[in-house]
Order: sequence, then C-alpha cells, then structure tokens
Amino acid sequence: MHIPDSVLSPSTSIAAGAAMLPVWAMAGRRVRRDLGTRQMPLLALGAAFCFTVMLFNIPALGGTTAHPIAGTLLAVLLGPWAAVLGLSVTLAIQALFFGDGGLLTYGANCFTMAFVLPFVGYSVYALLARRLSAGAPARAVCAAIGAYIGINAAAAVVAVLLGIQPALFHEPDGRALYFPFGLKVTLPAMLGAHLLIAGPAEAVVTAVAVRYMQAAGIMLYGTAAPPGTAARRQEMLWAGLLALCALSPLGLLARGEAWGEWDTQGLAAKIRTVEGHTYVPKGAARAEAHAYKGIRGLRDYASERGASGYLGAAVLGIGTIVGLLLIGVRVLRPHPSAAASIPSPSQEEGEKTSPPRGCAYPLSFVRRGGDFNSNLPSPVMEGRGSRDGGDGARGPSLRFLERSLEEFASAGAAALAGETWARSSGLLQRLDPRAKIVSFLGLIAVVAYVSRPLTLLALTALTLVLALSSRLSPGRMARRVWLPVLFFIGSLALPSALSWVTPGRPLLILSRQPYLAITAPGLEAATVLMLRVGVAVSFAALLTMTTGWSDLLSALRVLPLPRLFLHVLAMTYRYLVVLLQAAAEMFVARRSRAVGRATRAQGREFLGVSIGALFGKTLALSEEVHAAMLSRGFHGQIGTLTERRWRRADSVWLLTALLVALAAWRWR
Amino acid sequence: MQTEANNAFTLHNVCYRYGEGVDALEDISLTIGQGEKIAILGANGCGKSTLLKLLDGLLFPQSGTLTAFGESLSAKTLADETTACRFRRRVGYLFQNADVQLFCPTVRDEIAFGPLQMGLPRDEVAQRVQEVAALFGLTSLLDRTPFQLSGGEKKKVALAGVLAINPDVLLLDEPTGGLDPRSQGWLVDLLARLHAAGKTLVTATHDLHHVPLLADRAVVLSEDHRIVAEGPSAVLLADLRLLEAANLLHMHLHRHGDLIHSHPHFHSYDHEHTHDENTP
Repeated sequence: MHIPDSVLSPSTSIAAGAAMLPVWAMAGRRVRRDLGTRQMPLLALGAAFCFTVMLFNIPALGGTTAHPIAGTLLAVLLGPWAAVLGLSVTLAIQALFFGDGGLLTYGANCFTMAFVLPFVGYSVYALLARRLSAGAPARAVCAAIGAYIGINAAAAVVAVLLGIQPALFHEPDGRALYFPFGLKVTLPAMLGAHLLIAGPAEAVVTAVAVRYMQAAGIMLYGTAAPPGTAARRQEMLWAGLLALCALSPLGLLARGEAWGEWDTQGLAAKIRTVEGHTYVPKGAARAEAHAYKGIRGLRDYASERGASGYLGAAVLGIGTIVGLLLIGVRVLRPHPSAAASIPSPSQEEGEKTSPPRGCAYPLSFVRRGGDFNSNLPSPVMEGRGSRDGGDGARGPSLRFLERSLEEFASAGAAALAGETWARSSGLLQRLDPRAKIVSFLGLIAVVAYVSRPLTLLALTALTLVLALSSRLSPGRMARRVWLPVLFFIGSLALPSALSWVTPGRPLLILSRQPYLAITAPGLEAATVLMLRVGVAVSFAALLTMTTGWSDLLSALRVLPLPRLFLHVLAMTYRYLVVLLQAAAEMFVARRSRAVGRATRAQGREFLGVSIGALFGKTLALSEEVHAAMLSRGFHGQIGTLTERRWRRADSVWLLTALLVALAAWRWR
Repeated sequence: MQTEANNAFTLHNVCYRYGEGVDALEDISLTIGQGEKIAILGANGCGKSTLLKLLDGLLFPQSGTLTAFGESLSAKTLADETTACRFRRRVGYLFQNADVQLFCPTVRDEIAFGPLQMGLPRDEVAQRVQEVAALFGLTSLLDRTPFQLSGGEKKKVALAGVLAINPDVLLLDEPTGGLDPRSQGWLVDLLARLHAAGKTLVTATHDLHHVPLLADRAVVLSEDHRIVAEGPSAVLLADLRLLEAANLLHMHLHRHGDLIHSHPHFHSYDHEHTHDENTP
C-alpha cells in the first residue's frame, strides 16, 4: 500500500500532506495531554512495534502471504491519536531508511495508512464494542471487524488517489503524466486483494492478538478508568467524524454518475461492498451528502482549472471539514457535571482494573520490575505442538515463519549495513547531511515534474555518477533501486503501453481481433514513468545510503519538523533492532518446536499470539525506558552534542544541485 | 546514634504492590548509610528491582515512609523540579537490561544525556563525556549507535551514562548479569574503586559469588517479598540454610576428587564452594 515517489502528482502529494497537518497537530496535543513525559518512549516503541509487525507474513489464500499493518490493533491498544503518530513514525522510518514508500508521497502514505486506516478501524470497533466490558471476548470480534473495514477503507483511498491521476493530470493527447490507470482499474485491483486476502488475514490476526492481550491482563485503550466515560464519548465522536471525513470520497464515488467517464455500475457495486450500509455510523448520510456537494464542486474545479485548481479545491475542502468538526465538537461536548453523573456501563470492571498511576494506559502487567521477559505468559503455543505433528498431510508448511524470519534478519542487517556504507569515504559521505537532505529533497520534487525522456536519462546518468563517486557499487544501487522499480512500477507501467490503455500509433500489433498493440505514446509514457520513479528513488537511496542514522537525524533538524517527532523517530529506530530480535526469537522458538506442517489457521493463530506477546514486551520495555530516562533527570526535551561544521564543499554541492534542478526544470 | 540526614536511605514499613493485588514488597524496613556498600539478595521475582526503583524515586510505596538524604521521597516532593534535579544528581541507577538505558542515537549523546538534562553548560558536558569515555575505554566508540555495540560494551556505556552525572549513590541491578567472566572481573574492580572513592553502592543480585567484593552488608529477600535476614555479608553467605530457604542455592551432582555427590551450594567460576559438616 506504500505509494512510491513520482507516481502521484506533486499537487496530490501536497494536498494529502496538507490534510495530515491538522490531524498531526491534534494528535500531538492529545497524546501530550494523555501521556506527559511517557509519550516519547511509548510512541517510539509503538512505532517500532508496528514496523516489526509489518514484517510478519500472514499465511493467506492459496499459499500466498500478506503482511499485516496492525494500524487498527495499535488504535485499539493505544487509542487512535497515538496510533496516528506511531504509524506516521513507522512510515517515516520505512521511507527514510528502507526505501519503502516515497519521501514526497509521505503525506499521502500517512493519510491512508496512518489516518484513514486506524480511524476507520477504531471507529467501527468503538461503535460495536461500546457496551462491552473490558474483558468481553466479543471485543476481539469487534476489533477484527474494525481491522477488516479499516484496511479496506485505506486500500480504497489509495485506489482513489492513484485512480484520479490520469483524469486530472495528462498531456493534451491523453497520455498520463503520472499513474496511468483510472479508477476502473485501481479500485478492483486494490480492493480485490484487500477484501479477499489481506483483509481477512489482518482480521484474524487482530482478533487473536486482542484476545491474547485481554487474557494477559493488558488493558485496551478506553477500557480503563470510570472517568473515561466522558472522554470516551468524545473520543467516539471524534473518531466517528474523522472516519466519515476519511470515507467521504468513497461516499461520492458511489454516486458514480457524476464521474461519467467510468464504468459506473461495476464501480458502484464495488463501493457498496466496501462502504456497505452495515457499518456506516448513524448520521453518515448527512455527512455524505455534505461531502458529495463538496467534492462535486471540486471535480468541476479540477476540470476547468486543471491541477492547480484541484489543489486549491482540496485545501478548501479540508478546511471546511476541519471547521465543521470543530463546531461539531464544541456543540456536542457534554457538560462536565452531566458527564460526571452518567453511570459507566463498565464501572465495576473499571474499578477492578484501574491502572495504578491514574494514567490513561494500563501498566499493571509490568509486574516484576525489570524482568519483562518472564512476566508475560510465553507465546501460548502449549498443546498445539501435537496438532502440528499430526497434521502433516494438509496445509502449508511453515514457510511464513521462514519468510518472516528472513525479513527480520534483512531489516536488522539493513540497519547495520547502512552504517557501514555511510562510514566509507566517498563524495557524498564527506558532505554535510544538511546539504544533502535539502538538495536531494529539492531534486526529488523537481523530478516529479520532468516528463522529457532525454532529461530523465541525463538524471539517471547523474545518479550513477554520484553512486560511483560515493563508492556504492552499481550492483548495490541496481538491487536497492532499479530492481524494485522494474518489478513494481514496471508491472504497472508496461500495461499502459498497450492500446487498451493508451491509444495511438501502433509500434507492434499483438493481436488484430480483438485489437491489441503496443503504441508509441503508450511506450513513451511507460518509459517516462519508470525512469522518473527510478530517478526519484535513486536520489532518496543516495541520501539515505551515504548518511549515517544519527547524522540523518541531526540533519532533519533543518527541516521545520516538530522536535518530538524527531526524538520519537530516533528512539524508534533505536528500539527497532531490539524488537526485531525479540520477534525473531519467538519465531525461532516456534520453528524449533514445530514438526512438519501447520494449517493456515494455526499459522494465523500463532502470529496473533506472537503479536500479542510482542506488544506486551513493547509496553514493558517502554515503561522501563521511561524509568531509565526519568532516572537520569529527563524532563521532556532531549539535548544532543552531535554537531557538524558547514564547509565550502557543502556550499559548492548545494549550488551544483540547484543548477541541476534548474536545468531539469528548464528542459522538463 | 546516626541521624537520618547521615543516611542515604531510610525505609519504614514500606509496602508496594503492582495493581490487581500483586505484591512486590511487604513491610520493608531498612537503613542504608552513606558510603556503605550493601547487597540485596533474593531469587527472581522477590522484589529486588522494585526495591531499587523505590530507592530511585521511580515508584512510590503505597504505605510506609521512605526518606533519601534526610528528606522525604515521594511523588509530591519529586514533582518539584529543583528537588527532583537535586535528587537525580545524587542517585544513579544501572538497569539490569542495558538496552532500556541506551535510548539515544549515539554513544556520545547517551553519555551526555544526564548532564544535559541537569542543565550543565555544553562545553562542560562535552569535557565530561571525554573523561568518562576515556575511563571506560569508549573513546573510539563515541559516534557509534547503540545497536552496533556488544553486550559488554552496552553495559559499559550504560554505566558511563550513569557516572557522567557523578552521583553519590549507585543503584546496581544485577550489574554482572550477562557479562563474560573477564568483563565481570573488570566491572567488580571498577565498582570497588568507586566505593573507595566514597560512593554508596546498593547492589541487587542473585549471583552470590561477587557479593563479598560488592558488599559489606547484605539483606536477603524471601520469595514472599519480605526481609528475612540482614547482617554482614560474610555471615549471611555462610548460612546455607537461610540461602536455601530464599532459593539462592542450587543442587546438582559434582565431583571432589573421587567423591561424587549432590547438595545445595553456590559457587564461583572455578566451582569452589563450602560444605555443611553433615553433608556426606
């Protein structure tokens, strides 16, 4: 679901990023209020947890595997606001250090995976589970339904973001400038995969994980203290409104008639499966009607004024939605005294299990101080070993374990290897990280506008020269950049060379009846798209491969980013390795006890339990880290001694990069 | 008669439990003098780490009183920033798991974390980092990230981060745990030197063979979270029955010359141990 750079138009990326700004601001405020100095370790470890969970492979349909996102799970555990921040940090780490998702598309990726997903998932869960007690087994089912709907809502938004590209951004002759396929293609492709494969897998894993945590006495968000009643109502309201806001583009697509150029019937049917009336909260109709008007205006805007109009309309629309939300909350906020008198449905539960220090998060499971490895039930696999053995005949082997283990190992190795490349002496390694970050971000932004093949080839050559002079072997660049680009973008871009997608002068006729040919404009569009993505990803890789982690972090300070975000980012990366090791140990333990094969269901159950256990460790670890920080006098801000001096070479580099960017813009 | 102000810590009938009625400490009364070296002995889960966290003002007892350097230590007194800063400057805590203590991006920032939080000027902090790093032989590792360190190096950096604050009291949670014999020797040596320089050492451990070097006095916590014995460490370590009751001994077959037998004991790496007169 990670959108790479240069697939979306820059204006779409900016619009999505702008939509995230108020969400991040609100999330930061809420989390700070709820958690105080505890926020930093908890968010960092939550993000590291998410990263690790995304490397798990869930056995899915027909021997395939899908990876969970666990966004809904994180929201169920820590609350939707903390989930927004935690997932945003995870996505930043993936984009910055592992080349997963673009740098410019970071906002768009956050919008789908760190906002739509946890909020939709959490709202569904909160709505369904509002009358259930903290330990009710049905909570796990609610979480599973939330997870299923959440991941599909996010997939649908990705499909919409991609699918509107060809309609909004194309050259006069109809060739797509960015992503080549319309909604007709993207919606079924994204939703098909998520409704059938990733969704069910995610739902089962979420349910098992929630069940495990209830059994282990780890409290879920919002189930703790009786005063939570008022807070929870407001939480629900917020969650519901934001979910509606996130879903509104879907609501409008359901009225496919407005978008005449698409296969409306099929589309509407698809939308109904996602958006179906089963789960849209009450009042959805009203909000949908509002959003419908908003976006139809937007569409008109877009067709008349082109991309810049679209951007304006998007910002305007987002402003309206946020304004409405604020008014809604002001009006509907329960009076303090009224809230106090409302009896809590789960009051008894709350009293029994209220957390020790009046904090919003339960810490009671951290029983024996530092020994967090022994205080949780070990991944509860007892009694299942025999089933594994006897089950030899059917079901997939433990491939998903092997595959997950490989991914843990490679992520850990990448983290370590990155430091070695960054330490060798080459051209880019010698430059100040601040100069590098500014220049490469600028270049990536410019590349997004370039559509002339020659310019793109020249830029490709430039990336190769830079790689060689920085002692990065071409083979390594090929493996890190061009292979993934060829596989993932190539498989998308090449079909757009066909006459079905891009009509025009045929270069090679594949079949006359029905007519199918590779067209000249189609091939050019596909090449341009691939080159552009390749160059953008190369620039990002050059930046991250030649810059050590701590240098990159200190360089990020030149960007207008909140300090909290940077500290959490630093700490997340730090504890990633610790959690990867913990997860790998669980998997090795599982493999060593497994004889023969496991059914898919057993595999998913194991993963759910592992995720539960891993989260237990995560929370315990975050408590310990917090204690360790307090013990050395932590009071909210982290200082650093790491400093670098700006040299003339850095200014020369910055100037060169500026000239290259201007040239690329001139011949774009 | 010592006054309370001369003591590092005084505990009166302290009880602590983690929510849901899980007891961690029951009715603990204890005095720790300044400049003393004391060991807290007990099996896993008997409350050693909890006791250290109470002493470091990270947890607060549900009942009983706790004073540090003659002043009451509670959530209320530590809420005042100047008091908190003064207290944190005097007491350092080495965590059992070094990973939890290494949360900064580089070794340099890790060692500088405490002094920077205390508001020391940056150049003074930089100088202190250099000194502490030199003491621990970490100078070449200053720009490394914590996950590039070995287990022994992590422990060193964690201790360096604590010592950079230059505290009067060191709370040590299983300081030798997970280290190879050579590093253990190095660490015990260093701690002995720190004690000679006037630091108070409070060591929580279940690993008995370093106790004679790390502590003059010891308290034994039982598995029901109470103090069952207190006294000079040499006397307590000779009392095998007490240690067995606290689950600090192990039993397995072993050989002395031609004699192969089995009895509860603890031993150092060369398997040297004492015998009860009535063991066959």
